[in-house]
Amino acid sequence: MHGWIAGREGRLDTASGMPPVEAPGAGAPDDADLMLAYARGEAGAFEELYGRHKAPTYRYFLRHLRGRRHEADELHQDLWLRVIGARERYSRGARFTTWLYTLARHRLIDHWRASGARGFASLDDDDVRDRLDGPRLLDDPDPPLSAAIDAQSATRLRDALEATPPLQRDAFLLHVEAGLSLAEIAGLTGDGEETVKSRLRYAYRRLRAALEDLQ
Amino acid sequence: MNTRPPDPSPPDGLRRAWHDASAEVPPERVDQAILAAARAAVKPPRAAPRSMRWWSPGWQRGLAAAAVAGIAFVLAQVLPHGTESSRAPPERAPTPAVSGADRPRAPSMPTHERTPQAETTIEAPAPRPAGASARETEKRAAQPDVAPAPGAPQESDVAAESPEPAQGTDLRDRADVVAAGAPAELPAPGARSAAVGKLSAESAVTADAESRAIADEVARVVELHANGDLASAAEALRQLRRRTAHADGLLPDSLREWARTVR
Repeated sequence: MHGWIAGREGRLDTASGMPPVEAPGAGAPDDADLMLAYARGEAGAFEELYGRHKAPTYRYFLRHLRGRRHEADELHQDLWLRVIGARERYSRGARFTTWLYTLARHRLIDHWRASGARGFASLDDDDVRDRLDGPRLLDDPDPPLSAAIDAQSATRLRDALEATPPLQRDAFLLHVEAGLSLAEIAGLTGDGEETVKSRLRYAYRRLRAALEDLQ
Repeated sequence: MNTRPPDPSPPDGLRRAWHDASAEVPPERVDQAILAAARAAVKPPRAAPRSMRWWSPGWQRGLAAAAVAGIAFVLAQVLPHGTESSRAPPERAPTPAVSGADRPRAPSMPTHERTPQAETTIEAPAPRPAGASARETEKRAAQPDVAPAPGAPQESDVAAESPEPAQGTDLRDRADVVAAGAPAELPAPGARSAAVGKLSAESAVTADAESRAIADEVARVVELHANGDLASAAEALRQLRRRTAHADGLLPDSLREWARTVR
């Protein structure tokens, strides 16, 4: 299991399709405990927390910024500085990951706004779904893909995601990279779960199509 | 038939493929910057070092040293100075009158400090009034054993402000020269300490008595010579020379030719 969250069992429960609740190792504090401990002044708790989430948050920005590392570095650092600054405002009521990616998404939107990019408002979800996927999106199960992937395939996969409309791309990253559930994504984005679901399916289709082309 | 679409989940291969394709991590410098900021944010505020607090012992020592230095400086400026030259000139009686009580004075010797026993048999020269004649001075010098009356008006001290002898043969002037020329026991000009001032006062008394004695010696030489007792006059001159190196200069001009013959 490559560098996402140390100690976690996996991102998705394939049976339900729902991402698992954060399951730290035995005896290890969960994210909320670590954040609260840091708010009390324990710097080591932050280091643990950062180690768990630094890679997915970085890739979240990197994928949205189409691989521009310099900008991704800046937004990533800004995000965690905001986490540091907001440590005393964090409460256990919100799951830490949801809270974290809410901050990340806001930082991304601010960046797009400042740079004049269209950001998440580029495409209408319904138009994208109907034009690209049609009825296949709802009913046909996706056949399994080959697990093998080489560098070329990785590049195409990344390119395929970066070419995906921002909302679909965002849903994919929040679900696959961050491990948020549909309900959490819906709450974070302010959209309905069905809308989030549609976006996810669309993203899966595009990526799958990119892989199938290589096979 | 379940018309509800299943919850979307990536195909098995897709998830794994995606993880393989997307493995980037933030650069190390970014990690360090964030962690440093996190540590700094919860670091307790550093208390001011003790040495920086003004009430700390270090500061107290410095303040004490500064206070002592300041007080020492003020005392040095305020305390009376002990040099002859720095003292205010003694009071001067505005009188040219010469009486039997005239005596040579040390420049710094105030009038009231004179002691009657310092009076000698030979009348000391009077202060240097303007226009005093040599004849009058010698007349005074010829008067023996004239002790000053208590409370008699004393000639005010006239500071020998100039080491140069007055014109003519005024023994008073010679005495002033002697007084001015007896610097050995007087404090050096410019002395500032109170201790030096005290020494100056003591030495001033000594110098005054010495000058009076010298003046008496000079007068004796003059008297003996005038009386024709050249041998005694010569002996007195030799005693005077032992007392002061300026003995011959203290004699009247009329006796200097004779003084040169005395060995």
